[in-house]
Amino acid sequence: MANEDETKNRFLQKIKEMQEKQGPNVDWAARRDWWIGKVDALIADIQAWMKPYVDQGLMQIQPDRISIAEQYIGSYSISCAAITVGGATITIRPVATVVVGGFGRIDMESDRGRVLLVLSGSDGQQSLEDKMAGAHWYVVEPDKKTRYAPLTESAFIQLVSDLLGLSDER
Amino acid sequence: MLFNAISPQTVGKILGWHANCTVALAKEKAYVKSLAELAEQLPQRLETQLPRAATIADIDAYFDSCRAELDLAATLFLIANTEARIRKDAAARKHPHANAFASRLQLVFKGYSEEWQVPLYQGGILEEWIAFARQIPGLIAVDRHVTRIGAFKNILQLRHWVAHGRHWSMPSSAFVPEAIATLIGDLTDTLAYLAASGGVQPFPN
Repeated sequence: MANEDETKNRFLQKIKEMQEKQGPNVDWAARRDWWIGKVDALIADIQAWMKPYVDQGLMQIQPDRISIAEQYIGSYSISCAAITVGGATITIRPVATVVVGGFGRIDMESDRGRVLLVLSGSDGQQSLEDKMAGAHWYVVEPDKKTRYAPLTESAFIQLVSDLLGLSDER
Repeated sequence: MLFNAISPQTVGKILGWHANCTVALAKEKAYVKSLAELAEQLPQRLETQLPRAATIADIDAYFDSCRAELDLAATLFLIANTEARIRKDAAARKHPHANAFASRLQLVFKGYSEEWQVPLYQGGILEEWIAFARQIPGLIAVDRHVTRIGAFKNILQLRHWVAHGRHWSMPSSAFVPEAIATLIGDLTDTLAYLAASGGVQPFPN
């Protein structure tokens, strides 16, 4: 009987250690769904910001969906989009929700370059939930050590302008 | 330093160091992944090593590359240590009159002002070992010994690859330290066996 208790206790200890080794206890399904919702909302914002130009026939926005496979989360479907102006295209493609320094990353890319949109919580918030509740989109240049800049409508217009090469023209 | 001794024991020290560093690298990778899970920023020392807003795939790719570099470093240390052992033995073994093998080695060293300049192959030290093996009376499996000695020449190519800036492709399977250590063990076992079979000065192994 004593041996059985010992075996059970040892087993309990081992599986507790194994559980702890898994790292933070994140509800990955909830995290995935929250991320998908955030991207949907951003694509909707982008469509609203660009609507004046779309309505004038100067621009087209094609929403679409892609499949992403991530460790911890598995495969899921998520919104993406493409902005077309003249012969140029800017793709807006979610990359992952599990990223360093944020809750997700979208790559905006054209022939002229790439910019990252990172969903990040504010500094100073302690819990993961608080950070998620306060998360906003930021513009991040991939190759420069510049600070994260908040994504606003005007910032997005500047991004589109840069990625179309319109900022180069004087 | 840890690998300075030109001795058989240094192989074990190199492999032990490699194993410790591999464990440390795995822990660091797990730590960085946990930062991503919690949406934390990277420590400053890693900011230039990983892309901004790095994904789990980015983290895996970076640490896999680190592991490959660690494997290459360990392999180069193993090769260098083995080459030093062969050269040190040959320098001690060469003699104009001790025996035919020693006098042939004496000739190999002739004309070089520095001992490290003496080639291992192409008329060098290891080719004299091959010639010595072929003339040991009654030696069985001569070809196996010759193959083991010749195999070291292939892994010397790794040194040339690094020295020439890695400008041709080399598969990472070429520098698995444990496999290289096995090949080196086969080589040094063969040299020790040949020395014993040929009745010459032992090869330290």
